[in-house]
Amino acid sequence: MASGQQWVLVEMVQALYEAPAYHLVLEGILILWIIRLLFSKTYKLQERSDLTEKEKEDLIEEWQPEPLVPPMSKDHPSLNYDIVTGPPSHKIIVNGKECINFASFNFLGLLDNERVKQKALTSLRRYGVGTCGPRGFYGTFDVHLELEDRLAKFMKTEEAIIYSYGFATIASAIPAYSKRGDIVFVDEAACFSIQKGLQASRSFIKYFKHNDMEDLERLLKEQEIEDQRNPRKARVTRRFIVVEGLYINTADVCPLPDLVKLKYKYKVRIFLEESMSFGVLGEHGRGVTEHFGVNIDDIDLISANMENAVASIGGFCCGRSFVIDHQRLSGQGYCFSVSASVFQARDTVSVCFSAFVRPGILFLCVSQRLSGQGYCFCVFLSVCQARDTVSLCLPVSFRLGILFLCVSQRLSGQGYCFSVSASVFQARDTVSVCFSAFVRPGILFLCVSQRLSGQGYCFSVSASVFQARDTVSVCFSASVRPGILFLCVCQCLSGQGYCFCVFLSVCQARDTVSLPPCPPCWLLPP
Amino acid sequence: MARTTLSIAPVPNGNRKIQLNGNHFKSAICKKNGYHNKAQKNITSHGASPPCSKQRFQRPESFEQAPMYVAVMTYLGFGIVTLFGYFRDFLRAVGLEKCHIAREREEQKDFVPLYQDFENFYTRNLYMRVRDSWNRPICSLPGPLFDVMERVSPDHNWTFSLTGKTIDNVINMGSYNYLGFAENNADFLKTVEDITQQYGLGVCSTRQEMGNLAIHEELEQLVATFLGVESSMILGMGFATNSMNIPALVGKGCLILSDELNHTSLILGARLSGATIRVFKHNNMQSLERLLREAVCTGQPRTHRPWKKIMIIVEGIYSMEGSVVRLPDIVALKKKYKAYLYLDEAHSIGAVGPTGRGVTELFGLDPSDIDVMMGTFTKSFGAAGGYIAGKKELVDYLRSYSHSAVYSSAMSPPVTEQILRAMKCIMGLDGTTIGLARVQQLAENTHYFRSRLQEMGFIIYGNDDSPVVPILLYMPGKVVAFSRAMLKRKIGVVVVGFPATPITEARARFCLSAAHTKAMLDQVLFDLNEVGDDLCLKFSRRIFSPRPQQHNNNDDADSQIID
Repeated sequence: MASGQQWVLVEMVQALYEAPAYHLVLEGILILWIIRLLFSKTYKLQERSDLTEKEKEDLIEEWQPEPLVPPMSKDHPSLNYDIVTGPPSHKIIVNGKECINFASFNFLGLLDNERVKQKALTSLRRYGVGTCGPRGFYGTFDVHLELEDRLAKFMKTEEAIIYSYGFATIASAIPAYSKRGDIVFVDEAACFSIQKGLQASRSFIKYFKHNDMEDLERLLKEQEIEDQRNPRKARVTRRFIVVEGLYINTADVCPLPDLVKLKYKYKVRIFLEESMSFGVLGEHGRGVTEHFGVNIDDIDLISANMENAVASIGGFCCGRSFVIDHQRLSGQGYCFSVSASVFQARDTVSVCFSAFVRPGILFLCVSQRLSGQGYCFCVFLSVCQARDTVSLCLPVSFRLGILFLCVSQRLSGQGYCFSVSASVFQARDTVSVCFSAFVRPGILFLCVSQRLSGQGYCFSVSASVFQARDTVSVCFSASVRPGILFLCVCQCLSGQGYCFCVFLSVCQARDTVSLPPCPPCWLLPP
Repeated sequence: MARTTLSIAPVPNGNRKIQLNGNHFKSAICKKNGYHNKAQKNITSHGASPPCSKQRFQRPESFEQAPMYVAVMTYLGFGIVTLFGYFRDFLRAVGLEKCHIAREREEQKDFVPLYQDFENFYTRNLYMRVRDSWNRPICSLPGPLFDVMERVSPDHNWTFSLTGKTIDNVINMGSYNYLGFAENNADFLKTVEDITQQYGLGVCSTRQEMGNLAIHEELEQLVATFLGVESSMILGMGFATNSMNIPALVGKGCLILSDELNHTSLILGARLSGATIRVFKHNNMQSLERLLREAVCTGQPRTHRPWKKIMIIVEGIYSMEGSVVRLPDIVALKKKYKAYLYLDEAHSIGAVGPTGRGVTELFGLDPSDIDVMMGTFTKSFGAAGGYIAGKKELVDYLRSYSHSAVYSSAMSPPVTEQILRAMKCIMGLDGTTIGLARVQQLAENTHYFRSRLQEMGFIIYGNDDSPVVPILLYMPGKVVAFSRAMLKRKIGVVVVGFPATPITEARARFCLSAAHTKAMLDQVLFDLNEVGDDLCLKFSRRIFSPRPQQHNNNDDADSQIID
């Protein structure tokens, strides 16, 4: 058996020797072929078809991009800006025609304040116009530091940081904190720069209904349930509420005390955009926090631009050092942009203190542009004394509604006319408005008109009051009764100039009885 | 090579230099940019555009690489600092070292932390130690000389307090004051003062509402004339000009090809637009062409639909590299592949070109070849804001749909007037040649300063025409030492390191100005030479022949300073 086996082996070797060369080569190739088959894939995974150079050239030849910009109609409204010559103060020359300015955000009238101008000129002579460098690279001037310091002191926060452009302030501040994966709860009426900031942050964005705290709480609750499901993720997901103090789009004030309650309940941070409310709301113009008496430390970040009430350029953020300092390296608009012009920084320094502390001419105006609906309306408030304004500001817009109050005050001795308007949404608020506005004795007209545009008609009841005291009582009587009270401005444009009429329409006849009878409107000389 | 001799430099020098380029520096040509040696390889792109008789080609641009040991030492330096950082974090955690960092409020302790701990590691442990080199406050005009406010820190740079003293007459090598329009001469600023008196400081409205002043219109027309284009639009902030206008031009289904070293504002704008972004190597035409070909041939990812638009975004002068965009090549590529070109001239407008019209003039190109011309007024014009210029349809469209045009406040009147004044001066509309003289002075200063630095043996980046001169310092320790030593010698310099630059390429950036006098530059060069020797900053391995004929009175100036 063993020998037999041995023989077979020997046989085989012998056969190998004896086999012709071509046979061996053939077998060798066969073996290699089998090995290749064993190790190669049996089918091709993907059909590769590379384009030839010629085909590529053809493709390049054929491709036609869309035009860089789509064609536009020649009569688009934005192509024909109104040209303003001269300073845009309370009188403004638009397309060569003098008008009364109801469109600028020059709330405090600081645009043509002589003291501000003089300060600015002093700085201009010392520092020139531009800063020629970002803050990190010799673009930090002593006045920048002073302004930051004074803003922080004024707002009673630890620190403030200034930006050179109002639009960029909140748009840079949001992405400095809120990153990918974080959650931002934002009011659906938030202004455009907030939206851009949110977009840049790449966070999850949840919109809640405008000023609707129940809706916000619903979202926060949903988030809480979500967090319980995934606690590890929740530990690193930052949460923010972004709201505006005074909404530019709706002229509403945010319900800050409720927001603060929600903040602590659900552990969310609040970023507050105060571009409209800074210098306008609150006893000293510190914005909604002062207006509601909320502790400013409860707000994590306040951002405002200085292009409205302060009538300069730029913006600032303020809050605790813990929060603000981070922006000095992470705020893109801060690090990578040239710092604010010095003379502007400078004048703002003096403004912040001079404007808010001492009584002066104070204008508030809110311009709202609803481009979607294609119309524009402005709400204005101008008062002769800062003190009056303080209380006037209070009732501005708590509720959504269409209610305007306007007061026109004529100081005949001085021969010019202020008009005061505010949008108020509750009868009760109106009381305090009237109350404060008419404390000063003078010739006052108060009237209200109600325009029901839906029904396409307009009626007005007017009253004129010649003594401040009467007005007070009028207002009281008007509002004691629960009723719908509309205050509105009717502006008549006659050929030769402007006349302003202010109307008061009260739904309850009883209230009106005590008012002296009067013609429906007074034509004021231009 | 003949192209390089078209440069302003005297021909004999040019020849010698080129010879050196060819023979000695082959090893030193950086992968990033070796244009002067590879110029002829871009035939494809040149072939596409008919050669223009006016067209000037790029001056040599160098990106010399440092010796290997420098990179090793740099990493080592960062390694040591990082290790110490961890050690100190540990000490802080156990309470052995006092923690200076601002704390969260007690009431909000249980909130999700606002910052991740590691996010601030770099700030806390590296940046804090050297913070005094940045954000130095000044208290004078940012002209050629300025006064720096002295700061002291009792707690190793965690807080600063001003001593009230100033370091007077520091030579300013940091501000972007290219043409010296940061000035406070009462005669020059007369019109600005008048406008301030007349209009006040702000506008308090947007352009679309009641903020469109007559001087805005005037400036827009002047900018269009200055650039030689149909129309232009001005905006209040340079950063926002980029970040808010790019989204109006491109969107979903469009492709943005962006240079890897583009400014943050361009990156933000590209990101906000929602378009697909692809990045090409800095100033590298091969990389750009490859991306363009691929984009046109394969279309959008997954669906393979053709792209709606392709937009190339580049800068005129790159502010950290000092390199000038290779515009003729890019224009040729863009024409071939039908892409659109967005050119950001933030640093180049006013600063380069025989009459200060920017890179298009530098290369003798027709401005209409560039689809979107963007620039800022912050640098050469000593003001603030930016512009977008181009065809009328483009500007009209942006006026109606660009975010910043619709929603942001109009430019401040005094700033507008400053730009008007500076631009009229450059154009010679004020009846003088001051503006033109400044442009020429800047070019002269640039060439002088750059050539002297190269002779001294510093590694400098960028184009010979660019007034931005980065000197490579590499190691983090040297960056700080350099900045402090220069301030001690009354020279204000800007130093930048990681993350603004690649980790191994920390640098000092010098911005030249027409307002710098030769004596100032000589003083700076003299001090640089000494500091460079003290700190061993002369890394260059190139051999430069002394060229006394180009600046023959240097020796006198130097000896005066030494005396």
